[in-house]
Amino acid sequence: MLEVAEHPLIELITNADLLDVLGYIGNFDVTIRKNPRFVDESKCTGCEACVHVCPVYAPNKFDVGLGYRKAIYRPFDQAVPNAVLIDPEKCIECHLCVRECEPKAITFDQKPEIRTLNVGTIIVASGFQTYNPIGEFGYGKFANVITQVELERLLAPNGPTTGEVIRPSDHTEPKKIVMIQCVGSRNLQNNLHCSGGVCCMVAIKNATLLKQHIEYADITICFMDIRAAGKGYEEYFLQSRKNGIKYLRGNIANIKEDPETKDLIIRVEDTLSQDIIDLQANLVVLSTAMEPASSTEEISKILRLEKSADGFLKEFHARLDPINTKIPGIYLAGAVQGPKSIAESVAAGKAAASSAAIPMIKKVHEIIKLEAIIDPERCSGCGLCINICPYQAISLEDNIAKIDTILCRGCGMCAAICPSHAATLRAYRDTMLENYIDALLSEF
Amino acid sequence: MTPNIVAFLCNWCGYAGADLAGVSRFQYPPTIKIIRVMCSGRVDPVFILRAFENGADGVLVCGCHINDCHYISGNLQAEKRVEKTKQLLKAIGINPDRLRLEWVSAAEGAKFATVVKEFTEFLEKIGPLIT
Repeated sequence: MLEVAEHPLIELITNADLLDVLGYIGNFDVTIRKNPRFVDESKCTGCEACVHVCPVYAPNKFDVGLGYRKAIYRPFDQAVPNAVLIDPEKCIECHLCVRECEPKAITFDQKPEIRTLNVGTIIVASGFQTYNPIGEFGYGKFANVITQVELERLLAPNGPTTGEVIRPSDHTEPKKIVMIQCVGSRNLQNNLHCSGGVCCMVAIKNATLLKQHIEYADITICFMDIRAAGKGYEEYFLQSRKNGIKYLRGNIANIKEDPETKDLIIRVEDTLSQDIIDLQANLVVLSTAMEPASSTEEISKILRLEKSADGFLKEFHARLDPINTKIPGIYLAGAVQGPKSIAESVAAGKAAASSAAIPMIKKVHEIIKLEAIIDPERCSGCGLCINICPYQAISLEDNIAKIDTILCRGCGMCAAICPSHAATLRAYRDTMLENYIDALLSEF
Repeated sequence: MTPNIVAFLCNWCGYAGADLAGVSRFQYPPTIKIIRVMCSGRVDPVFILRAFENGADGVLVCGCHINDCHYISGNLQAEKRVEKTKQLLKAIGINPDRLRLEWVSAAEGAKFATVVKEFTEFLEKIGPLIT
């Protein structure tokens, strides 16, 4: 990220929303809204003197609410750009920070800035979010049921506990830990999709790390199937078994909490031996599914991109062309296309960058001359074709439909809906198809 | 009686599926006359009516599965339009089941053969359409 920020040919715009995209490959007009951060990025040195004087505390989003931050804050240590920002919802405008700031970077009069960028190609890399398991397996009700992301923040040296793993209820070190896999995924009722083996590997990694932190920890992973598919993954899984992490192929029936000790009792059906087992745990960790980010829906609408059945953005072809989309000039990178591990995301990112560079360097985009044509004398300007066109390639000019030959892909939906037969396809005209039908049936 | 079926197959799924049925040597009755269109959404109700007018006993429209359309939403349009055309057929006294819409992907050669076989059997059962 830092390299991107410092690259002379890359302009990095953070804290911005996508509003609209018009045009086609080589000539997209992208409208964005840069939200105010109330701090001048070019002046702020990231010294955090303002942070120390700020009297307002709020949950830290980066630590998934486990730690605290101020109303003026740097999202996390490696945040790019290296500048603080003000949360307008929490700020009480006491202006203590303004007094403290030496470079005079804090400006409360910043307004949202609307900008239009003219670009040749677009890469969508808006990522994923984790499933919110609230109400499942006692999450949100029992203090010692946490998610894998929360455990990761507890394990992190820069996390809220500076790397010390403690249970939320009494801040003691957990001795018995149970991890539950496939929370919010591989479930025929709400989400049958698997998160691509990512949560399996994350659970194995976190269990291994836990074992390094707490040597006598008793860790059990209740899984459906361990999907350790990837280079070195199976070896890592086998190594974790050697290190004493227990794996139980089990379905969770229910979780109960001991009201005194806040320990948890997990009833599991061992699906191999069909035995009912009661596990005791100090801490339960849920491996939650990867699901499409909440922004995916809006992005798919603005960019006119399709979504797959699992809600992630749809690629041109799942196996043969996983980077391109059906709109030329728009490419997908990372988990916006589907659940991906770090290695897969890096590969997809590099692939998307190369794919986007090819037409830009070639400066040539080939189209197949299949596009729709309009007979201006027949067109009544009813606009039915405009609404039906999946590529927004048709517009009205002087009350006559006009087709953008670059955006048009030649599906012919406008030709089929046109009540006055004004729209037709260059290579599949109405008369041609009608003659075809007549000829095919003439011998009978 | 051998029925005449006019089949509108989309270039990306239906036509490719029919092609796969051919190269995989799946057997199906020689009752269909294939017209390739770029998208099932291209099929104008006029074409369907024209086929019936000219002596077709059945019309088959094949497109990509829902969510798999090469042109994002063409198959949804085809679905709507076929539904409307069926009502039209009913109004003019043609059994609406003579018009069939099927989703056949490029990998479903066997399904294409089954679809044609079943449709042919159905049309044989209900007899020819006399116009």
